[in-house]
Amino acid sequence: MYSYRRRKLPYYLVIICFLITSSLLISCQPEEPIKIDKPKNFDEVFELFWNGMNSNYVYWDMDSTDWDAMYSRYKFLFSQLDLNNPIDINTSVEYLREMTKGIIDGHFSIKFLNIYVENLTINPLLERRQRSEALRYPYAFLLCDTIYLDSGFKLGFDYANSIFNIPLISVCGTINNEIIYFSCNFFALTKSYESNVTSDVKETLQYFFDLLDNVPPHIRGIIIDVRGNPGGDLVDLNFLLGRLIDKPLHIGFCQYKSNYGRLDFTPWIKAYVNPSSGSHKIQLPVVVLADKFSASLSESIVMAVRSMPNGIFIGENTWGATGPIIDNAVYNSGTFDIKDFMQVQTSSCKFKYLDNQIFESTGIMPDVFIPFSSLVLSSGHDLQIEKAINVIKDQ
Amino acid sequence: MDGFYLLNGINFETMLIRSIFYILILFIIPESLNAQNYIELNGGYSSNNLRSMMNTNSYSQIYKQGGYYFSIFHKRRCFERLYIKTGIEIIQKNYLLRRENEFSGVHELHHNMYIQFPLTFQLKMIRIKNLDFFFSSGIFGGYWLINKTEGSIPNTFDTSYGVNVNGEVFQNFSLTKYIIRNEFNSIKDNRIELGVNMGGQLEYSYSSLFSMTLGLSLNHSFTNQQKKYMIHQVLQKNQTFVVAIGIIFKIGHV
Repeated sequence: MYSYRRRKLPYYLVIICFLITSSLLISCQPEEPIKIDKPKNFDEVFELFWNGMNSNYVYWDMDSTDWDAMYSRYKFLFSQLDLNNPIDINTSVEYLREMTKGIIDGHFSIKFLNIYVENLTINPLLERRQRSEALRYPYAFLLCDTIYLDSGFKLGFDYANSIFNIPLISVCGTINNEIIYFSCNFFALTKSYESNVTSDVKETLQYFFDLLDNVPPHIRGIIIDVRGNPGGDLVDLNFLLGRLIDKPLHIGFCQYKSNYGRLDFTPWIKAYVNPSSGSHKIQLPVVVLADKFSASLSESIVMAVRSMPNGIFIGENTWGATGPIIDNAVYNSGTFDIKDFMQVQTSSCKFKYLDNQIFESTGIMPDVFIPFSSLVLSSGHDLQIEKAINVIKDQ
Repeated sequence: MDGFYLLNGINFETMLIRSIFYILILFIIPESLNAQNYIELNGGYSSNNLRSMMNTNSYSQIYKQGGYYFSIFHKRRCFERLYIKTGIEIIQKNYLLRRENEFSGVHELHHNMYIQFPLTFQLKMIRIKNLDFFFSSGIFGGYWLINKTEGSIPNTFDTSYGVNVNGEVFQNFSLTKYIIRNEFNSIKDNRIELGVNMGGQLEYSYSSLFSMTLGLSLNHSFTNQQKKYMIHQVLQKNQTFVVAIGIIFKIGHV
């Protein structure tokens, strides 16, 4: 039998143990991050920018830019600059350009609000493309391809909806009485259609919608032309393509930031195009034309058409800006400002296609590749639209 | 190996396995078997608070969430009033991120299950008839077993639009719900948790061999739920309150 020895317990040791445990439990309060409103010096500009990118940028899990290394390298450099010195302000722009030169977000750009540099912008993807290839200027297909349209086509201009003083332009008509053709130079279609001001664009859209609602029996296909279209209002995705479907069309997946951390993401959420009220399913082949200047919503249109059973993409690789831009407050990610100094534009979420491919920075490859040729265009032929016509005729 | 990492050159997995081995040795030392030894089984409720300043989101709060708690302990009397307890705990450390005001409905609920190995010292404070009150304090090591996330989020690509009286277009985002059992991210997720616990326990001796218990304890983690993978990383630590009832069987005797 075990004889239990009545040993005196050193109670003071136990009390010390409890006190230590208690102090540990109530200590180590998380520190509240310091909030800066308007930066007073370049130290604060740098911290706001670095932290803003750290928490708002959605591609850190696939971008090769070493953001921590940028902090180590540039923090001291920025601290040497004077926010009141125009030369230093210009130097800061070059530092920012260096820091972001590898950013893969196709939407990423920095516009400057400081008067000394307000004419400067930073656009890493555009600058990479300009360095690596002979980047042509966007071509105005919209007004040239009217030669393919049957008489009676509709052409609309909306000067109330303009970007960089270029009005919203839309075209709708038929080709050889067999194909419905629609094109626009950027996306503000819903805004134009629903505005109180009557415009030609609304008339063009109504003509297009009327053709879709009552498709003439001799129509064999539809061409949607987004070449040179840099994108625009996301609401136009459902507004335009919702007329072609009668139930939600699954086109891919979106992933959002779930919290402050660089790698805090939600699961991939299914992305849909929703049908318009009263729309019915269009069984005809749909061809989307796009080129290397088709970006943002134009790329969503391309992916949506490819998701359709009879959808096909003809043209060139698109730009590679597939993540949409939404107000920062909705997802706590994306575009952010540094007061009175700069505005950083970046995607609010990541997008991947049905086959799990992410086309950010690389662009979507066409099903049928037809390169741009200014020589052929100058002779009055558009090889891409001619291919689209032939594909529809062969269906 | 996912969840385990080198700590100052020491393989943590080996440390954990060795610790468990040493604790279990207490069961087989002959002298221990003849001392006062007990087996304690508990079940109860856990309420976890994720302590963090990560919440820079607009209109967003972190809320405590409840979960379950189960444990089995080996308890041994060392001194007249001092006991030592070791064992295994299965504990849920859940929390909720919820947005408010115009973003109400947007939330993310995290279900986290941990297995914990505590080492606790219990001091018998007072005894009234068959009722004993204990004060306890100790340390624990835990491993994050399962993380399941359910939530709802405005879906950029599931929208409808409306037009206000001024003819301005506005977009309505549908809330999409999701439930996912997460695969752990070996860069981000820290699956090892270390911390301290403190609490109290009431024991009612029903017989010389059998007691019933009611315990309250607070587990405070020292370790961040995420590994340090970036500069300016915000700390996120679990603080879990547990209330449990249980039974104790005496297996040794004086």
